[in-house]
Amino acid sequence: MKRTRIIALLLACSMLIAVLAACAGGDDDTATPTPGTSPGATTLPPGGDIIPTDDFADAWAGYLQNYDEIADEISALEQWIYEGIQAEVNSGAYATAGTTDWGNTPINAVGTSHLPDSTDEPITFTVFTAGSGQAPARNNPVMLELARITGVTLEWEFTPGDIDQKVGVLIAGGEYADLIAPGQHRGEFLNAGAFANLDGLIQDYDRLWKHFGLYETRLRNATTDNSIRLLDIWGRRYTLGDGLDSLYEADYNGPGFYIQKDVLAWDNYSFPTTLDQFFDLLARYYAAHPTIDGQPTLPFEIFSTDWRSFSLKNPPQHLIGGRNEGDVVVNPDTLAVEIYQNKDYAMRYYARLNQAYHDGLINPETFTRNHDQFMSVIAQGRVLSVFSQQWAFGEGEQVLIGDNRMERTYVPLGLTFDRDEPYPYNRQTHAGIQGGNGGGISVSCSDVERALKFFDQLLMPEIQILLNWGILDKDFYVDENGTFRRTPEQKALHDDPDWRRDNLGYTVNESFVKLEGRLPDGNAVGPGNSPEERIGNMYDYDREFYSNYRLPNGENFTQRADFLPQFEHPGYSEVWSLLSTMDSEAAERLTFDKITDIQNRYLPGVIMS
Amino acid sequence: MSDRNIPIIAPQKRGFFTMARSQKELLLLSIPFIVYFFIFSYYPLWGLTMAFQTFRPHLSFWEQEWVGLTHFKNLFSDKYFTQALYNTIMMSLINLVLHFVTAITFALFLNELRLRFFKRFVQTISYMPHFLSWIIVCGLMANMLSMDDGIINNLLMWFGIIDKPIHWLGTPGYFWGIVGVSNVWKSMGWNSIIYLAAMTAIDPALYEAAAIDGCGRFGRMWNITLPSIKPTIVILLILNAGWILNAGFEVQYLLGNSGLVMDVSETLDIFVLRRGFGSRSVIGYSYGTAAGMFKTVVSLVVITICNFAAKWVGEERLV
Repeated sequence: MKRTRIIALLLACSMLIAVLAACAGGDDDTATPTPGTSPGATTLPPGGDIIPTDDFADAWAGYLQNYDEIADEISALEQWIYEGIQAEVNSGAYATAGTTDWGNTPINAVGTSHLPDSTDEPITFTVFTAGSGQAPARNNPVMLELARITGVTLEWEFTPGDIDQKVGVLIAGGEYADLIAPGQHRGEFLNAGAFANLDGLIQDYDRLWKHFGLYETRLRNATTDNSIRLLDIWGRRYTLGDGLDSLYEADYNGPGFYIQKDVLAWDNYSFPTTLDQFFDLLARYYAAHPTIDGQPTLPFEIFSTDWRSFSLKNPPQHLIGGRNEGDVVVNPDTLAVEIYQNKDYAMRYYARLNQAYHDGLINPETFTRNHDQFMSVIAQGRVLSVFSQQWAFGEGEQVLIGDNRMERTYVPLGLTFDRDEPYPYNRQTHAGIQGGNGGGISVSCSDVERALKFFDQLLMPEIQILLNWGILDKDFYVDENGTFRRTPEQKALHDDPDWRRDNLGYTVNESFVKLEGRLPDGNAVGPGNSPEERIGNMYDYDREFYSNYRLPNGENFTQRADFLPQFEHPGYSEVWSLLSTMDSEAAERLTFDKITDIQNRYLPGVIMS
Repeated sequence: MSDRNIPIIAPQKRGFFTMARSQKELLLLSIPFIVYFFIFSYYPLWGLTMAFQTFRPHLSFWEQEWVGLTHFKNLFSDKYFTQALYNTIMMSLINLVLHFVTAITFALFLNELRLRFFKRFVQTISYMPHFLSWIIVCGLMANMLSMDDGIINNLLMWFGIIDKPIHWLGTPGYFWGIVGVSNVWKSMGWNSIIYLAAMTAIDPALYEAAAIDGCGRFGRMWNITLPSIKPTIVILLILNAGWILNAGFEVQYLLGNSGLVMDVSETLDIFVLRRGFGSRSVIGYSYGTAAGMFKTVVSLVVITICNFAAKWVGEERLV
């Protein structure tokens, strides 16, 4: 019986400990301030002279401590990236960065009805897409027409849910779909040897090689064995050199401080360029509009879970003029590389966020929202501003457009610490093909040459018109000047994501090689970069809104990109390419993971200190 | 013809093959299970070799680079690993205690109910949440705990207990409590079923005798019901103690994925997933495997200890 008592005593003790542990920590939590308590904080210190509070200073010091612990590893990582850039610069990649004119490529007729049926054996390729999404309907007329011309039918597989895990399991199994659109996971697939080597084959396909040949070095640099495996989707812009090319750029969807149009309009169409003006404007607007449609206004959101934490950690590099080179800033003169989230300018930014938090401009729930909740608050139209990339919240914004609430959609601001002019952020010209950012043919593919032939056919101007504009006279028409246009009804259909998926070829163009810019006859490759469409089919609200802003040449703004100036230098996007294709077992990778982990863990606490 | 005429044969006199032949039907019947366990339980153990390699999935076994205990060294010097270990053990203990206290108490009270229909009704309702997936439960939790019109904050404010909403999911101090309560809500009814079953096996004569001896309701619960289900409690305790390093995955992952509470929400499973399948375009199979292997070994040790502890207190053993 004595033993039983001892056991009972032990059990009781463990229960007591557990219960105490459950309660521990509950005592020292301080009640968190919530929005609405001090919305009228309009007197902000001028010129960015933020005096961090003691609490903030302590939190920041604790955050820096984590970097000090791995200081050696960080310098090794910086050195590794520096060498990567050096190699890239020495390889002459920058000399070839640029656009390409069409030369004498003729375009016979608009539409695809004149193209003959494929004479090849019909084939079905399976496609794995590492992203959420849905396959186009089987009776998608554009995809059927594509199948008629190329003989290729595509079977799509998308990845709802945990992509990391799905990709990991796929790679461990080593069995792949015929074609892979790896998205953010290109590095894993590449390092696992999932992509077939196209070197020696791709050179035989005229259109493909004309498209990629100029960037051969970059394609090769994306692999570890100097081969060609990934074919980039973006970066190749076609021009005519008639002085109008710049009009045919797609709108900006990169990083920026995105703010609702209504906030700027309410402030007499102001144009904030500094962080302080920005938060000052948010505070004033919030004081005047504590709720939107009866729900509490959320002045500034930072959605930061998982890989989307760029909203949390990327702003400091842009505030000093950097260009989204990944998790480092590159000095353009010396090519010196440094991680920036532990530097003084980063502290200045987070101290400002800390102040904004105490002013009630940042709702603490922003850090605990999941992606669906974030999309829903965006779609409710009550988020005044975010730092993000447009594509990362575009799904929510699309709902606002569908509800015709254009005043709640966003424009990007290129904020600075204390300049009168905005920075360009990531708006730059002529980046060229970056290397590695695309899709490929897997080693399990039954017929690699046939897949290459299919890619080659995708680059035909007629096919690109088909995929982007749809079927002639059904989805678009040609006006008396020979310009591709859509009626307002056709445009409304194109803007509906479900219709678009089931009636156009965007699913293909978002995964594999494509043309960008202009076609040989001067038309835009897709409606998204057609100036006639942009201006001719602009929403009334937008026309009114943009007419209050002027470009340096005196013309009105026509798109959100106009809020940012343009860089002439293409930047060092290969840093991002290096980081996203690095060997999964490299020591640098572990360091990189650790840094990411530190930021995701500590920055929310620093902001709320 | 009677049973007594069957001779008792001493087993040691028969050779292996003689015995195998005489039991060939039994052996045949067991083959599918042996195959099953070999394929799904033993063959995957081979994958543990990854922990000692720098594993690259596209290379064959012979081409892998062997690195000895490097990954384990990195693991034990990783402060987030120790943190995850601590979080896991603490949350497990909380869950274990809450599991037993709530399920047994609930079963005791339910057992005392006289109205059969009401008893069945309560029992059915209470085990329903068990069939909901965690993703739904966590969605409900997140909505209820929201600062933005969440029912908990609304109620507390309505009663005047607090004057501004509490950021439940962003405050580290509340996290373990939230996990504990979610677990209780989801599994209390289900867990109590087995105790209720054990209680039906108690001889009613014992209760009658106790009542005659002047024992009240609570007295009977304490002196008859509880001691009678003691073997069940001990067996379940052993079973559950072996899972001490499995504090759960979904609830912590779905509710504690923000930087604000990551320091208290990260369990070993999440650590393995984050390190193994990377949070951003990178995969570290080997490191993740090393962490998973550590977990397996510790679990094995714990369950062995519990088994001996059970023998020591004189109750039934599992193995």
